[in-house]
Amino acid sequence: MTAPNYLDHILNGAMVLDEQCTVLFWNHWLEIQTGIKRGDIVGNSLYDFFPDINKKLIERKLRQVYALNTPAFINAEAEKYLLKIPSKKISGKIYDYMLQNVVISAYDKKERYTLFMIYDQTSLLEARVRLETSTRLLEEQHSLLQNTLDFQANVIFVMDDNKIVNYNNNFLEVFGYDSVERVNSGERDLLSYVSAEKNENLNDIYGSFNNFILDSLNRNRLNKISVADKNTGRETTFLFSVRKMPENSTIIVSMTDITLLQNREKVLQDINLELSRRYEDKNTELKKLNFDLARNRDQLRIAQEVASIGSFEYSCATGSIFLSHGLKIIFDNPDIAALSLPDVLAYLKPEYRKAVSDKVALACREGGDFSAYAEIVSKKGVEKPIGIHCRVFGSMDEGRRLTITMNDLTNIKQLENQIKDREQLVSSLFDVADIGFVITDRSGVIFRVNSAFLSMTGYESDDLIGASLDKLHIESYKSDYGQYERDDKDALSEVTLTHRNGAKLYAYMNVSTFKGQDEDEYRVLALTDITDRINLLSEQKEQEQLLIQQSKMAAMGEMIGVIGHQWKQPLNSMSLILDNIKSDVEDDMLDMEMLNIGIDRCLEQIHFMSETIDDFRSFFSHETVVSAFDLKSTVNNTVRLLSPLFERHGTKIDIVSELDKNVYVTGIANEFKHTLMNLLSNSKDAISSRILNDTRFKGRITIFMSVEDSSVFITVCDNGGGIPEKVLSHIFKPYFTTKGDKGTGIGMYLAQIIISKKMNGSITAENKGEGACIRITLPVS
Amino acid sequence: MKILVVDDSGFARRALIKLINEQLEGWAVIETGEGKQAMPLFTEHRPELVFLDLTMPEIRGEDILAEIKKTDIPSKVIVVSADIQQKTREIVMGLGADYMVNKPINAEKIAEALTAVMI
Amino acid sequence: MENLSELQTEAMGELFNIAYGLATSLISDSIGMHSSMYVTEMEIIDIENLADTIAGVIDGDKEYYHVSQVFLNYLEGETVMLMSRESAAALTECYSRIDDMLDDSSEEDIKSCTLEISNIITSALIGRIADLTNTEIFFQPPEIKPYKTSEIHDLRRGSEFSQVIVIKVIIDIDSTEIKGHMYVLLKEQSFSRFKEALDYFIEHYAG
Ligand SMILES: [Mg+2]
Repeated sequence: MTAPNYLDHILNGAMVLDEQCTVLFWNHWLEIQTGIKRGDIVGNSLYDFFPDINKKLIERKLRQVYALNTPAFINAEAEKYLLKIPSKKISGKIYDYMLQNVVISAYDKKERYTLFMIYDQTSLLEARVRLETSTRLLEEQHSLLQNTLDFQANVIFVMDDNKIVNYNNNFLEVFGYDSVERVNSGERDLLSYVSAEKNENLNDIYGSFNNFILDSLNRNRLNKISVADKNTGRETTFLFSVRKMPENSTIIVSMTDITLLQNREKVLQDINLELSRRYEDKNTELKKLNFDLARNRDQLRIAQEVASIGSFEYSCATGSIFLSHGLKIIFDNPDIAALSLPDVLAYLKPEYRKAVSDKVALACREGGDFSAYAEIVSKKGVEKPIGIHCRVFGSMDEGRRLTITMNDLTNIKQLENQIKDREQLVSSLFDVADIGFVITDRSGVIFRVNSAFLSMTGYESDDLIGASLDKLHIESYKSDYGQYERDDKDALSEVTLTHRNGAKLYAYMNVSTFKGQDEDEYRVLALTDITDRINLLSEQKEQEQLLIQQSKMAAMGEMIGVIGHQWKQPLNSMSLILDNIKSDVEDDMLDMEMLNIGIDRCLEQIHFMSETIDDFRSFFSHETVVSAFDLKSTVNNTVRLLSPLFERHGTKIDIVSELDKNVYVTGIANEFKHTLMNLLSNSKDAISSRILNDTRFKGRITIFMSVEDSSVFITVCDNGGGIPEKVLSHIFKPYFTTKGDKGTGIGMYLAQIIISKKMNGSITAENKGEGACIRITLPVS
Repeated sequence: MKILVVDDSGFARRALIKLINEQLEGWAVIETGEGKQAMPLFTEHRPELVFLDLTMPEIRGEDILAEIKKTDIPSKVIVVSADIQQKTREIVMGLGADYMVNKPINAEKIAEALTAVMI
Repeated sequence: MENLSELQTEAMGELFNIAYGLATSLISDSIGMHSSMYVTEMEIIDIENLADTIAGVIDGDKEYYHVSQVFLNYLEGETVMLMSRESAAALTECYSRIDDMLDDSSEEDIKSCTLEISNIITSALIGRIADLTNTEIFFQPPEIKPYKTSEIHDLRRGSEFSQVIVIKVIIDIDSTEIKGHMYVLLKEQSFSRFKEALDYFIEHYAG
């Protein structure tokens, strides 16, 4: 079956089926997407090639098209797809198969042929899922940060019925050295030292600090207060939490300085804002897509109208003739067996035959399109006025071919419409939707462009006509499609070209070469703007980067916990030493030697603490340079940092290394550390849930390292119970989490990106023994 | 000779009566838009022919048809309905209707129906 | 009825009656069961009153689907179909009796069936107008989302639309009752064209 050739140019699928779902037409896009050639599928049942299609669904949709004469639809969000086409994306894909919107409409009512237009919706829906997930992730990380802060108290005091009964040194630093005395004597309520957010007047609302604290305790919420420095007046913001002793009215208040961290929160808010802006952009894109869909529907209408016009092809050289189905309808003779031009002309009233026959002969001899008016008598004896339009193809040498269309002009109203529509059709085919056309002569001089091309490139018609094609700087930029050559040698490729304002445009380009009537060769370039799609892809990449950044921040939160834990011990030691010194001074028992010992021990602790900070710093340095780094020491350092915290959670980390010398791998060391930290923290979480069931359970994580040929293997195994089988296969997909609302779901996905994409390695997961093993393979540099 | 036309849509009644008048001369047409009035009018006028709609508020055409067929009045009943399901046709014919016409009606359909029940 | 003569109102009733008959027969064929469709209420309201009208029929405790579909050319506007999740699931259950690939507890399958029935009703209603007046109307793909009150207010804000045909429809499939609220939003010019279409219908069928 012949279908309008521009269906091969559009960036959607188009196929025509008969009532039994035998494929009658299969466009170029479908050939590319499915890998099924037109010649193979046409004439066969669609079900033979796509056995998964729900037959019942198709039957229902076709029934609607025939019964109501209106289009039926398949929706990417509900039915997912019509044709099961594996997604071509390699990284970052969410859906395994291309999601499709499908518009099903009547192509030939009489023969019950239907046209299926298939639109790829995958990128769009994926972008939406990504955005939704990023927003959720951000919220999760925000609360993670909050929770971490909760543990880091630096002011602690104990109150009993509005009196301060115990406090640490920081309390005095913050509230002033006379504060305890003043509060306990009743001279000043502690409430008068603090202010709340939004300038609430705490005094009016609560009356006393005790009431304020009790209220916060009852509401069980995270609270912020500010305390002004006595000397400078600068405000410090604290997050505070309260615990009440069950047996008496004693309350323990702990306060954490978050002045600096509040800034971090601002960063998070900024990211949130940025994300919502991007979401808006996507929404606009969605609307644009819907608009495009509407435009495609116009094409569809034109396609249907083309089908309703009768036509025949005539070869000047052989005199052979081929009649379209539409013409058979006009002649009221579906079984017509016209073999020659006179057979067709016989349907014309005698007075028109010679004129048309002469014009055909002239067109064959000298070329040149023509239009004519004639009247026919159909097989049923009906007289019909007919509009005849002839187009000439091919040269004298290779034999001219004429395509002659006939319009039934019986109805005057139809006549008016058809004249209007034909005008529209001719201009539409050239100005069709968003396909830009450029026609050049043999030497590449442009002599015609369409309006779509002008609006695509920003040029005026005058700028281009007569100019060389070089002006547009068309360059191939990808060879994906270059290898794909159509049978008729028309090549479809991806190119870049330059907008008048200098911007780079991306396009699909299809070049066809024709021989004109004047023997001259000319080329038709059909270009479709895909800049938006390309941009969408790069935006997705940016988003991935953003996610990595965010996960870094979450890791930072966890590290604050690590430091807090590391510092607790030395801080305690030091306060003990200092307490001893203090009491020795009071008892006049201090001698120089003891003081020196005390100072040395304090310095030792301070040295240890500053080491922790150095470790922390190097861990989070904003190093982004790819370099070769020593694997063994990187793993050791990471484990050393995490071990204390893990041990507190009842989990021991062991390293079993078969590396006898230094092994270097290439990448960003920090990203690798994050990946390892993430794996360890997953193991810890799995172990924690086992400990919850059995408090005596001993958690164990073992990191095996070995090298073989030019690969190094790092395997992290735990005894946390393993990963459920059905989860195992999805574990490296984005936003997948087994941790319910606790996990971020992004960790394993990022691990996979960092290891496979950035470090050219691979990562796999399996269950082994009492738990899970994650195996990383990296090339040795 | 009398015809009873029962249809809740005034529009549908007018369209039908116009076509009946074009094809049958000298028949008296009694009409009602209220399904509940159908039986009282039927027993009062004993029409030879009834045109009956199915979907009406309050009472369904199928019920009226059953009532008519219970009486000893030998009327022919032509059901006129937009419900074009094959199953509906089977039900209606099973209840004893003499003919069924799918809406929208036109002169040919009514002529065919009249010919079928008159012969 | 707002701006419609008594004659036009009657004609509209009959036109939609015929359209629903066609839609019902299509649905019956699709699910292999006898079904009936009743239009229990029909009125024309000003777009200004749409939000209030909808608020009056929506049960606040239930979730609803909102299916919208744009149509263009001779008549331009949008149909909005509201169907409770319960009704949509019941509909899917009916479909699943003949199509065993459908599962009435799957959100996607429920959406699929709701989209389908909404498209059929829209096509039947609007498509019949095109058929009977010899004109052409194009349909865009329907879209489905959870119903949110705010979006109905947005429809008014665009103020492209002037009149709304409100139709409450009950589909009875094998004694399962499925209720839907259909709103046909028409642009000012399309509303006068709709009246022309009704006049054409009156002239050709009852004139
Ligand atoms: Mg009725």
